[in-house]
Amino acid sequence: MADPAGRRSLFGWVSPLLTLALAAFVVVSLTTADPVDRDRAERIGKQVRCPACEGESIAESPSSYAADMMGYVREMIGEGRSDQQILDRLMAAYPRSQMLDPPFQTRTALLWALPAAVLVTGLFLAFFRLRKPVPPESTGEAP
Amino acid sequence: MLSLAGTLAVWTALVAAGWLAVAGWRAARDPVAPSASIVSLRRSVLVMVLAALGAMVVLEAALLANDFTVSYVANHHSRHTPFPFNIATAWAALEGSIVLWGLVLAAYAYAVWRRATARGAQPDSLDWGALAAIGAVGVFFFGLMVTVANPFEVCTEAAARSCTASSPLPFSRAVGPADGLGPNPLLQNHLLMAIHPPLLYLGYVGLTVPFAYGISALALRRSGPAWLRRSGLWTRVAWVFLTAGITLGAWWAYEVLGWGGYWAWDPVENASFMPWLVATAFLHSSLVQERRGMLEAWNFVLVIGAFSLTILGTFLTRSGVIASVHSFTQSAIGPALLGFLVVVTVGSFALFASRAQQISSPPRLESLSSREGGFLLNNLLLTVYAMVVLTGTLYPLALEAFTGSEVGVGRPFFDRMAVPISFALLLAMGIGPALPWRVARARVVWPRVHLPLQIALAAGVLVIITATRVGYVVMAVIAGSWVVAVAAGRLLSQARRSARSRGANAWRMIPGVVRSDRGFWGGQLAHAGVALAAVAIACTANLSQSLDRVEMAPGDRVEFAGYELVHTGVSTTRTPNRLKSTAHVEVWKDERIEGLAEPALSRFETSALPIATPGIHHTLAQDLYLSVTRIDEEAITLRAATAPLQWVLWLGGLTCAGGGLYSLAGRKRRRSGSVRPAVGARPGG
Amino acid sequence: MKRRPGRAAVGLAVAVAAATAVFAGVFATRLSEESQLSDSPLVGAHSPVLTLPLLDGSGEIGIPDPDAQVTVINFFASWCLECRVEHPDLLAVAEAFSDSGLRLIQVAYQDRPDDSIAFLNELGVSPLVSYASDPGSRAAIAFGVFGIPETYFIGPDGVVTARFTGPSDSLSLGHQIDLILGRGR
Repeated sequence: MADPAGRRSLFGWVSPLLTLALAAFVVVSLTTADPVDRDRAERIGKQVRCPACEGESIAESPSSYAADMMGYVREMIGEGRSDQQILDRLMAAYPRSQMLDPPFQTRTALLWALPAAVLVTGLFLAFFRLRKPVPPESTGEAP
Repeated sequence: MLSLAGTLAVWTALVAAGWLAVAGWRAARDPVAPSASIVSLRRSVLVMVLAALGAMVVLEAALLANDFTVSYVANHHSRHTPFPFNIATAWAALEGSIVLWGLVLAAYAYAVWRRATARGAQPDSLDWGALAAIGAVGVFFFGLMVTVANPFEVCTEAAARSCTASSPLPFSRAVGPADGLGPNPLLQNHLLMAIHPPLLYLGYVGLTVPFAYGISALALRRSGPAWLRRSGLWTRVAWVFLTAGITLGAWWAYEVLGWGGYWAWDPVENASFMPWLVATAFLHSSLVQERRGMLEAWNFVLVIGAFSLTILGTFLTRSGVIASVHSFTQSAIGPALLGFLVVVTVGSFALFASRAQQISSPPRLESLSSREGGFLLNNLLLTVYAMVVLTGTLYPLALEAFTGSEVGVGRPFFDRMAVPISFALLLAMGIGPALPWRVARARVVWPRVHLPLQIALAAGVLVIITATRVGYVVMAVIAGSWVVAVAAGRLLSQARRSARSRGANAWRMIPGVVRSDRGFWGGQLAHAGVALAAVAIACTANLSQSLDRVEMAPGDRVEFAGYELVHTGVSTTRTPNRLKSTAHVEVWKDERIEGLAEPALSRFETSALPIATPGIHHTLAQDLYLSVTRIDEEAITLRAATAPLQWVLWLGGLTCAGGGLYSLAGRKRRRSGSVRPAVGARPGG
Repeated sequence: MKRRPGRAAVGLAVAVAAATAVFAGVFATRLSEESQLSDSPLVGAHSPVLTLPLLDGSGEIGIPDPDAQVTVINFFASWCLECRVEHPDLLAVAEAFSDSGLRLIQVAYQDRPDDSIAFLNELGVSPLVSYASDPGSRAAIAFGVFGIPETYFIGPDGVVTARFTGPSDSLSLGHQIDLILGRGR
């Protein structure tokens, strides 16, 4: 903007190229990075609300009851059970509200649909209701 | 004695609030408000604020004097509660927190009054109407204090450590236990607990004021810029406190709760976050109305929504309705808050609907790629965000009520939904400030964002090469630096332009540029705070290492994340109400002792489970977070985790609040000069 | 042109107001809920089957007791204040139903054995009651314990009939046991 016009034209094509190169480097590095390897017990524990505390999952809670539940999870992992089997056994006597990750089912459909409905309604209003009926040609906006 | 004084103060405040509602309404209805009703208004505001202050003072006096004949003191205080927690006990439990609520509301009424009648201000019927609405809200809260949440009841039957029956009549025969149980042990562990709730209340209750102006404008059929400017100002005030309060709340959770996190998406946190999101949306969309006269109806929805959400949040957290299945606290305050929520929401939206024809502003958006288009995007994202939090919080209750089926909604759901919305918001923050009003042309916008984009990508490359290839972290760094770089670029180019016109050095022009539009630059500072917070959140969520429970006898060493942790022994301190066992752990790095961390477990005589206090070793790069789940002379069970760049989150949150504060500092000057510039917008920036 | 946003606003206002009213109704039904009896996926299902070590280390005990008409499992701990409140009532009920085939098992939850034993010695022990410890909290997890005290009632067929959370009293304990006995005969 404040650059003399000559300098701008000289670097006019270098600069976008640099942007592209940087972006390409980032994209390639991120797509080829190894996925973060999370402990399986921790992954399971994060889906279970600690019954003896408030809010936290058993993987995070410092309470000794949560520690016992995590110990049980590890023991079942050692027995070679699947994630679902482990959760089923661990939570057999607990209400489903103790699970932190809601399943994708018809009974939970509204949970995802309501925010999506707000998004769609908002986009609709922005595109079709709020705009001037006749888009004006150049309004003479200065930078 | 103190019960009597407190009861009198609360009743006085209640009467004054009712008087304020009536006097305010009468003054507002009168086209030329007679001075008599203004005097009456002033008296009622003064009486209300003094009485509310009196109630708080009496409550504090009862706590400090260990007057266990006052039911609240008997049930929530103990002789051994140390300073400053004995002071903070006044708002650590239900009834006292309502007293604080009343005091803050009365203080806001006083501040609104002062501002409306300040020298140079034009007294306006909008102000009287807003005061009336505040008075009406005050009637409800002071009404709670004399009925279902009365802290000044006289204890008439006492058990060993609590009050089992109490009477609201101040002349009842008072008996009191010799000592009480004290506040919840979690609440007497850290200094932040004494300052976080009042800050949060200042924010939460402060949202009453923009709501009151909105209602006033609707009731008086006074749509236009006047109510908006007032609501905008008071939303900023409340928003600054709310932002700081939420940040300190997260900080407190981190320092005290011992699980190593700071945000669990639990209803208490969501209750404060939803009004914040809506208030943030209003701060942005109010600018669109101010500049372009658009979105007025939406702005009414936002101020009503933000206030309704504070009442909903209070209901959710105070009634016990959403606490885990086993802990129903039976309190009559639940139905009262629920009733108030319905009255507020249904009443306000009915009023809004009845006025909708008069306030609907014509569509006049020329292009979506414009500053106002950016604000629309921002509002859409923030609204969807608030909807996600609201749905996630209420869904389990609704599902169970309607179908009997149970579902849990917790962190995995909120994270999954919030992360993409947050990234979209960051990107909007990066591009929005670079867009001019009305129509943005690519040849204008591209130079403004191109160099920042290069800088941001370079920062990302630097992170990839030197630190990590974890996607979320790199993307947060890129998005965050873009936000900051765009703002910095706008600042520099404006300074340069102003330097050119005056022939001065561009760097010396920066303070002048910033001062000339505090609203905008305060906003950019707040954006920078959000960017910092986003980077910190990405780091703590993705780069944290953890060590699961290890048994350590005294003298044992364990290696973790490049550190060597040495358990040197356990010490026990006994204070009158607690037994605190502290593990002493030396933190070694590269054969050198770097520090000492002292995680502890406290057993309070009044509470079942021991309370864990983490021991945190702070460094610039990361926190080392140690907690114990068991402490014995023979061994401790230690958990350790690293929290990379944790301090940056606190810095980001407080910077965000600071940005809001800075924008407030310049309001007065702008207010006198600025009129609604609906057409002929200035050059963007 | 001017009317359209007005209509959208009215629609939004009505929707929000209606949603609030509906939710208020939902909450209102929920607020009145208050009971010692609490819901659990276990109620009506077969009791978990497990074996626990006795607190004094003298042997093991099976849950549920196959020989008993009624097995009552009570989770307690020395640090639990409400457990002190209900302790005399538990002893009284064990006494009262000793001839009716009641097996009362008290399981220590998150407690050191020494502390549990001291607690019991202080408040009273009965030969009619079995005291067990719960290593690794396996029994508590299997029964779905949230916070103690909690009490579970198991019929002769091994089906859990009821669950109490919070301190129980001899009257309601006796009532639940009677219900099982009435059905069992």
